[in-house]
Amino acid sequence: MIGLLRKDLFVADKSSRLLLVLALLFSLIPSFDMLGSTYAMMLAFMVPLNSIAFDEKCKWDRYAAMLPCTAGQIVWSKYLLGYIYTLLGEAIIFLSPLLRQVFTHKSVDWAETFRMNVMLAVVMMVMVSLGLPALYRFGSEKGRLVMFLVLAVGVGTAVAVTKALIGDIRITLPPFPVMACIAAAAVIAVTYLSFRMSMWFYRKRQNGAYC
Amino acid sequence: MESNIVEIRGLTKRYHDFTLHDLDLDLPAGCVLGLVGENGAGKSTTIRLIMDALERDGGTVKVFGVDNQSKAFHSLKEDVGVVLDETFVPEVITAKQLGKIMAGTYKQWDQGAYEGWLERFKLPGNKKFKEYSRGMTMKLAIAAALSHHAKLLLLDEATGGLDPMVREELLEVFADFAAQDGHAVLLSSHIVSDLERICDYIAFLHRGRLKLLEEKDVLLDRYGILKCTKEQLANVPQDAVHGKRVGTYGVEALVDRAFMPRDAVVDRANLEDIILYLSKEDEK
Repeated sequence: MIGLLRKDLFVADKSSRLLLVLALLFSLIPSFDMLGSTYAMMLAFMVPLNSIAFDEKCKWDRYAAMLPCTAGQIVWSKYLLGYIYTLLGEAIIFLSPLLRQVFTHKSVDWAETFRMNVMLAVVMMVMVSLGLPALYRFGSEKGRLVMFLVLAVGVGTAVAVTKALIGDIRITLPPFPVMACIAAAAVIAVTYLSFRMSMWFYRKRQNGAYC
Repeated sequence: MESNIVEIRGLTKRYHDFTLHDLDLDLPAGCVLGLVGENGAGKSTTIRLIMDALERDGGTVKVFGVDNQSKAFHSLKEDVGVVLDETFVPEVITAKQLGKIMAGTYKQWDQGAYEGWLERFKLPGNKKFKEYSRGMTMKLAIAAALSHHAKLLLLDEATGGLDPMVREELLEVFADFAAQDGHAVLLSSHIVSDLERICDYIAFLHRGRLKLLEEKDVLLDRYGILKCTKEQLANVPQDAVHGKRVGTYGVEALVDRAFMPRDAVVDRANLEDIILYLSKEDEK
């Protein structure tokens, strides 16, 4: 598993470094700070996507199947890669208000920032879980389109539902710790289902389906 | 008595356009087994099935006496070095990074041995894989396969597309590996002359079926090339003829030397002749 992750991190290294720096720069510019956060969030699913594209090009999966790694480890390593970049993205989203505070001496509501970051992490992890089965099923080319479609439909639905709820019914959100627990349970459930699907598609692909 | 490092019985794999039929194959310790066959004959499929990288539809595979679908086989993969025909790591990876990847993959990884192979093969550590030639790529794959104390090497077209000098060098490496106690090599190749040089056994796969599995020396002793007229060939026992090529001035046939009349002039057949004639015999 460590070897698999190392491979993905070596592959992601240069391109993701540039994206991380860009995300940090954008998040420091007051009117671009949302763009910076979006950039940082995108890393979480862009890096596994690129990694799968590189794997396909060199037929890495065929070789990986010969190594002392299980199919579960091979698939799970892509989820872990997404989570590592979720953490890096989170670090940037946390770092930017800190740097702005240092330079502008304006106070930051850290409790609110923390709450926002936790929720952003949840969104990123769900995005990783929504995207990876599509990549394993359709490959990096078609899968990229399907993945964006799934994400657009998912985000669109979430926004529509939220607007409808807030517009018609005034709901009171539970306290943050409860929300965090609900979000964590949701992430675990979505990740579990996503992983099972990815494993199914991975095995089918290894056995010559979808070629 | 030699023990078998790989034992395959009735191995079957069905694709929509190809089937590997009922394959029986043994690879004894201390031996190099050459797997030969045309493109799509089932060589790569066989190697992937040995490593349980594909789901089989029938039969059994034992490696070091362990069923390759058992949990115990997972740790035994440490003892198997694999080199595939295609590129194997993303093109942005360097040889140094590959060492780190493998160190995180194999418990038995020997960094010193790996660096030794890189030096021996004159492979630059910091050059990206995409800048490597085909020969360098194969050498790197072989360096990785030989650096975790493997006892079995599975080589899928490892010498294909290489110049004779590099092939010579690699064949020596494989032969040295097989000569070590308890080691074995399975080498699939289109280049029959390579197999003839280092293999102890030859397995010929044709259209997904095992056409022959024999000791190389037995094959070379058994078969010969008879050059004669059509009339002379008609007088030869037909069971002894295993394929023929009819020309304007005569006939060339692969024959069983043991069944030939004493006065018949039978040349020595090389492995390539044997394989070519046997595959033609099948098409009759």
